[in-house]
Amino acid sequence: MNIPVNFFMWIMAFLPIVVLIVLMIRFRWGATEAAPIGLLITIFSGVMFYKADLTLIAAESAKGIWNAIVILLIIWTAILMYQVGDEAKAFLVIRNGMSKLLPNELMLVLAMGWIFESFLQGITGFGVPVAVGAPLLIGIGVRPMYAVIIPLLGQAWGNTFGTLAAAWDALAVSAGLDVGSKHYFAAALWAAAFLFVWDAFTGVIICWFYGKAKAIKKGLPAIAVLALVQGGGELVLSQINTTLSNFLPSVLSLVIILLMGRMKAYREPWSIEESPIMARGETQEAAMEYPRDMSLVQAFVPYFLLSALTIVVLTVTPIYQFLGRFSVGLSFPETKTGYGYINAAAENYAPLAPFTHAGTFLFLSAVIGLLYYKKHGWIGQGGTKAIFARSIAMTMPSGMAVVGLVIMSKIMGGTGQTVVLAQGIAGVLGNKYLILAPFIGLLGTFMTGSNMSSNILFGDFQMTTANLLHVNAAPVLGAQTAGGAVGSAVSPSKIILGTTTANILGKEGDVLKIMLLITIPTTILIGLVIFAAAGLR
Amino acid sequence: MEEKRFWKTKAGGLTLAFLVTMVGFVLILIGVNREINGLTILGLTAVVAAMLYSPVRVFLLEKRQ
Repeated sequence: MNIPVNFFMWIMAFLPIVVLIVLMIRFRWGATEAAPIGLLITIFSGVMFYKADLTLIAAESAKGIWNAIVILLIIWTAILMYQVGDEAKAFLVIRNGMSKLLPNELMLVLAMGWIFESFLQGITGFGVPVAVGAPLLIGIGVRPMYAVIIPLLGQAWGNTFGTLAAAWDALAVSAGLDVGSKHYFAAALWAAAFLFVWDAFTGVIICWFYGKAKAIKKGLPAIAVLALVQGGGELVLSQINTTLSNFLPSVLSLVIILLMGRMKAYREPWSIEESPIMARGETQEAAMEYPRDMSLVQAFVPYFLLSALTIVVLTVTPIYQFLGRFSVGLSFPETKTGYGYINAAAENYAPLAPFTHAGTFLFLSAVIGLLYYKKHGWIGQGGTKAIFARSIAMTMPSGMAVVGLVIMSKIMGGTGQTVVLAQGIAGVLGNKYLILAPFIGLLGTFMTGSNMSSNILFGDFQMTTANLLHVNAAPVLGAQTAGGAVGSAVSPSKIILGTTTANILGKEGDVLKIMLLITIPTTILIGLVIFAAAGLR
Repeated sequence: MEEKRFWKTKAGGLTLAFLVTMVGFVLILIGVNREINGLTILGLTAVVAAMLYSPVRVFLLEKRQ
């Protein structure tokens, strides 16, 4: 590759991201409107300055659309599941039922916004916790804006080792870590340690949102126990079995929070009346109309199905291997820019295995749930048609934004802009680059919407940079993937999943603004830790 | 009547834009794999045009109205 890594080229690579952020935050554009502008700049920059021809741009666009289809399947099916619950008024039953099990409102918010999302992230991921979590939180009385923010935070810590450690495995492959080697477990330990702290921090932030210091004081014992189970459990298991290191602690924490609801400290009704994240009046009025004969377990039927299906298919190896045999991928020829940046030919690009895909589990759970609710009379005549129509109408706006964002990231990657972006930062900053290493991980997830893609994109780069700087690669790789996980809370394609199901589409910029204030300092703190660790060697 | 109204809404327009994107996607796939440049460019144009539907509608057409 002969791309000149200079200030101008770096600025041109960074421009689409800056424009995207400015349009969304400063001018409050929705992602559906902002993404195409970022895309246009990326294409212009790719052709004019990175010497890509239109065939390369088209091929990368097609790869982006294919990747986006995989995400869209999840968005549509998650929205379908939401619409099924909404039509049957199951969220109102969940709100009332969970309120009885967890009379402490803070514990209820933590359970529905952090612990349940962790559980979903442990098995499905790909934004499902955000899409599913937002309407559940609205159901318990959380304001729509916070019903998006809280699940975004709640799912983030599980992005590296969740979804059965898909993102971690991608990092190991990309950085060339031999599975089971000393470096492999050292990097896993650093990643899990950072995520442990971030997980605990997540609990504290949610309490802060709910009721500032008063809520933190009340929730701290619970957060300590839950973070120890989740983050501590992941830390220990990352040294034994990375695949299950997030899933098992997440399941355990779900059981523990329900048990904590029976403990002296949390079994009495408790709430902060003036909590800025709650809109109780609105939901209490609506709660009058819920189906009285639907139990909490019945309301959760689609979610139980989702959990059971996912656990069985993903953890029973023979079933997973059998269903995973059916897959569809696309073929692409090799493309090359004028600077010699090569995108290798692919015979079977990004194969989609439909029977092991999260979208299939969501679709089956939604349809079976629909039939179940219908059988009990909770979904009336014409309800099925309305559910499908609303799910498609609700998917399209976020769908087009996701398509635009993913194409943008593919073109940036395929023209060499992403590499220049990362190399420019490392080249200018030298040893101090370590402070920004986790930010690169965040940037990767911001652009691609996936911790896994961020690790694929930057894993090798982080390894190479660590070797160039003569520092231990394990903390740098740990910081890369931890930064990527934290970045999942600011990824526009994940934010839009939440704003869609929370019915506040177009407010992505407002959500992003709050999330950036939390996530960027976090990545810098992680960076300072690895910088200090490198200095101590 | 209701169906007609749907296609006039933003969600309806975006659904059409999505369908155009899919057509563009297929054209690009055929174009790049069979080395038919015209088809590839046509597909890319369709994708970019479909992408621009939302900002054009929100910031040009609706503002003018």
